[in-house]
Amino acid sequence: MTTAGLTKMVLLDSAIVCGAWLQADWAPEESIARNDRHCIVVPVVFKIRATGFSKIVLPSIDYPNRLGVPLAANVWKLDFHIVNQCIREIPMGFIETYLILIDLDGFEFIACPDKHLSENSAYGRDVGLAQLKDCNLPPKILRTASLAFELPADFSDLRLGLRFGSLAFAV
Amino acid sequence: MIRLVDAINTGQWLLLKVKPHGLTENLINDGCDITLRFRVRGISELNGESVSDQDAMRRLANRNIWRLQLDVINICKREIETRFVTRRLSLAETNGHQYRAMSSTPIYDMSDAALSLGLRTFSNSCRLMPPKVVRSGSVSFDFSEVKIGRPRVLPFEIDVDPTDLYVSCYQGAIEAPSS
Repeated sequence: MTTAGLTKMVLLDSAIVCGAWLQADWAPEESIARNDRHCIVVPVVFKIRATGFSKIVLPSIDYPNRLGVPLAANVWKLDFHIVNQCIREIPMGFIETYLILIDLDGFEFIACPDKHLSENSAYGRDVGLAQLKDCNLPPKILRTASLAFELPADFSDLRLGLRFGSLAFAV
Repeated sequence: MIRLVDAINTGQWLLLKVKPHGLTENLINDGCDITLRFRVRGISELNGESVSDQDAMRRLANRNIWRLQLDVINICKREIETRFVTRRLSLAETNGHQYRAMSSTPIYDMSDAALSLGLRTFSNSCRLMPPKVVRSGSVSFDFSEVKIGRPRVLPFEIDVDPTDLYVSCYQGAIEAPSS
């Protein structure tokens, strides 16, 4: 375990190339769960399959001046399929808050919370960045969505993880 | 504390360190100090001549606001809010009096003026600064005697030259990386 609260992670490249489902389990210690703003009942269990990872050309987005991130930022889009395996729905904001990318040195990157990029721009709606906004993920239903991540100029060997939880290839 | 003029002239990268308090802050860097690397690129007065739109000019009229241009890198393990910079970075006099950065920009956050002056980068809107990413922007300091609407009582001399000040941190420390 290299990073506090993270037990298992998966190399992003491998996950995309093999296209396998990943099993996510989120059952943090009580103090973390109590502070979770989604008021969710633990444990949270879902399956996720990464399908693509590509750079977003920010200046080409409609009304780029409204972006919260700088135009020169290095923002990448992670595409995935997701299935909720809990008895009840999962708030979509939960995935956005806890699904992370981790670099080789253990630095963690959460989804970029840029309202224009994800929700208001035509681009965000077209490519699925708006999918995770203002709706819940019902049990057993497959959803296709994307998240944007702002990353440093140089990165390598990114791993996909779940903050305070674990993510591993499903058996 | 580092003299502002020296920080600008040398272009030296500095460290801003703050002890974490509470669960949320302790999670940012696994319980270690919350640390930002930054360098000061310049300081300039923010007045009506700096902006072109009428609304911004009106907000800046008769005020003594200065803009500190910065490059900032979050070197913690996890993201922090951009407003951490405005909450912690301050300018100080040798006698210890601190001028804290303005919590919100004097110019409408989403205006073109705020964007071109870099005032949007660290503004009070809750944005995140991921680790290792360089953020370039400005924070502003208000040296006006009277704030709009209410008088401001200051325990120190108002008539200060911002370039004579020191780079400081509110409830934290500023260090040169080698020290």
